[in-house]
Amino acid sequence: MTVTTDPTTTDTDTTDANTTAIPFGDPDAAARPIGATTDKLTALLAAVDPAVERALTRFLHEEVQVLDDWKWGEWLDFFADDCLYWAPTQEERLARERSRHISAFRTSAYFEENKVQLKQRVDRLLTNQAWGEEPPSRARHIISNIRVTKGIAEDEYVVKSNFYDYRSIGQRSQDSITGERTDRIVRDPASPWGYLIKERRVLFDMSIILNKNLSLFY
Amino acid sequence: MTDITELIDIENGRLSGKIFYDQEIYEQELEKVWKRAWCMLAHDSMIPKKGDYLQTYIGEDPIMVVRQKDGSVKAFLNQCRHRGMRICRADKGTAKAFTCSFHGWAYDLAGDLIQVPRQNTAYPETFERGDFGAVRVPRIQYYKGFWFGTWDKDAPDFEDYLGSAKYYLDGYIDRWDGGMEQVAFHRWVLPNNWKFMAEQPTSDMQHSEITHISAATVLNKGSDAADRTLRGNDPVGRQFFADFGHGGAWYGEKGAEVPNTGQAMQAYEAQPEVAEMIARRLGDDREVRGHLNIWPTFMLLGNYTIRVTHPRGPHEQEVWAWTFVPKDAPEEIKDSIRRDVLRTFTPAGMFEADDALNWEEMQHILKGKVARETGYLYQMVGAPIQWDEGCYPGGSSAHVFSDNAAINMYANYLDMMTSDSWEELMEKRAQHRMGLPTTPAAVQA
Repeated sequence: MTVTTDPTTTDTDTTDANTTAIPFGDPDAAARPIGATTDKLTALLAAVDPAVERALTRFLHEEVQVLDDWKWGEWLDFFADDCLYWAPTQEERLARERSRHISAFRTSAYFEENKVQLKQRVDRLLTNQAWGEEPPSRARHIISNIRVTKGIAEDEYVVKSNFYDYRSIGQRSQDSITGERTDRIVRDPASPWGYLIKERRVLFDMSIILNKNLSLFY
Repeated sequence: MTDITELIDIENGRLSGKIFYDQEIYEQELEKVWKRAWCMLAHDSMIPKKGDYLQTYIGEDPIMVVRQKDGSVKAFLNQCRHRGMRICRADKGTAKAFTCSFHGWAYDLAGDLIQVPRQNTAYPETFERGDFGAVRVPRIQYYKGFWFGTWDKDAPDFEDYLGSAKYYLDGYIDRWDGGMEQVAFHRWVLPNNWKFMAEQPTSDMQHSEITHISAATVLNKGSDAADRTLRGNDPVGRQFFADFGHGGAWYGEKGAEVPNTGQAMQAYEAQPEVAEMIARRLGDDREVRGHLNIWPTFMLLGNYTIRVTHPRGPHEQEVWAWTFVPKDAPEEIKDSIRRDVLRTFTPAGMFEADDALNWEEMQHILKGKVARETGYLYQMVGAPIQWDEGCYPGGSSAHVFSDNAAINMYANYLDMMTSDSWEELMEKRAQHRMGLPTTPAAVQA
């Protein structure tokens, strides 16, 4: 498929104040009403206070540091008491049935946990007898592509991030897995980190899981 | 061909590590086990409507399993007869035909070749599409909701293959009038020989109390955990084993509480009308759920994770696991069963995750020559074997923890690997029990 630009266009009208001629990062953008001709990036950035974006980025990095440091009990501090932690499965479907390639909620999933159940998984690791993680994997969760968008409620944010989780265990065993997290995070000044994850959907980039287990948190 | 007779010492309960490591032995398994045994292909609930299909495997051979227009199920090798491309690459779906994405050869639901591009202009007149349909799985049998298949035209009927294991399998899959349905599906790869996994539900209930101690410690009362604490050192229960290598075990006396299933299932089955239904279908003495394996790798656990494992070379296997629920149970019961399995016996499962480590290390260590020769011990055979004891057909013993069923599995494996046909295999079966010659009076089958 080839794309050709039309060399004969003569449209050079840029007099509208809200055209795409406004440069990226314009500090006055937030104050300006978002019109139909505002570019997507300006709209996204205007919707979220940069201080919040910075806080949530740090929040996600601190979360995985706790995991990589094997402080699983502290990991629970990042989650609301009424949280949902869900990781659907994937299958390969033909194009006309592609909408079904990710499992629906309440069908197949690797995790479908409330806070009590997450704690149960953490408690299992804390027995130091969960032999699949005893001694624990040396893991490194690399979180990237963090995008914060406004949620529906006040003080609520939808945060997408990508992960590259590497681990090694024993002498020769190593593997990695990538995927995407979609989080709904709320501001809660009374919480340990000032924010709490209400919902997390983890989407692994595998149909058949090509690693021997999913014994970390993601 | 490797003669593995020297590698499996049934009488003394010793197995050489070579049978889990050697490439030549593995190739022999593909020929003598996987081209011959009955394998579970699909359940009705996975392909309910005509045109529904799914991909699976028999051994390393990819197959398509397809619901036909007349309601029957057919299976064929998922390999284009032209140049060997995988005909269908989707895991499942609904179709009217399957077209290969290489040169466009097309097959119907039964695997018959229905279109070859340029057949009229580029192929000789003698070319007959009818000669080049996808390779059919020649024997398909339906058993209580499940479809089984084998490549071997001379295999005994599936129910004969089950033999005395039928009684125990029915205890899992034939309890409810409305049957079962599949509600979840998970797949993962394990870096170890397939026989490590097959042996576990066949004969190794014991590993759970150490391997899975962390899960037992944290799970709620009413599950495996609480029962284990109360069970004591020698819990009541039985182990069974059958011809062709099937085996399993369960805790509890007949009619008693069934551990290894969640509270939701127990509550559902305790209801009078459900209990009556089960008793009507199976009889009063059919509390046999714990673990079970139908050789080679059709495994069932009493919490209704039901899986097969596909061999992937001597050092790897691919587990395909489904969660099943009673079709007519209330939605909240079904959801509870589904979540119970999800959290315990899927790749992140609190039980499943720990088995992987055992098997990975076992496989890795087999690289060592001395380790391979040292082999493994199956000498926990103190439990007296009973044959056709009371209501329990085939071999069994009144002890949950025993290597008897594993010995039986490997004795049958040895027979399969050293027989050139089903006929020869059946003759051997008539002569052995537990791999040992039967008494003279019983030799004549």
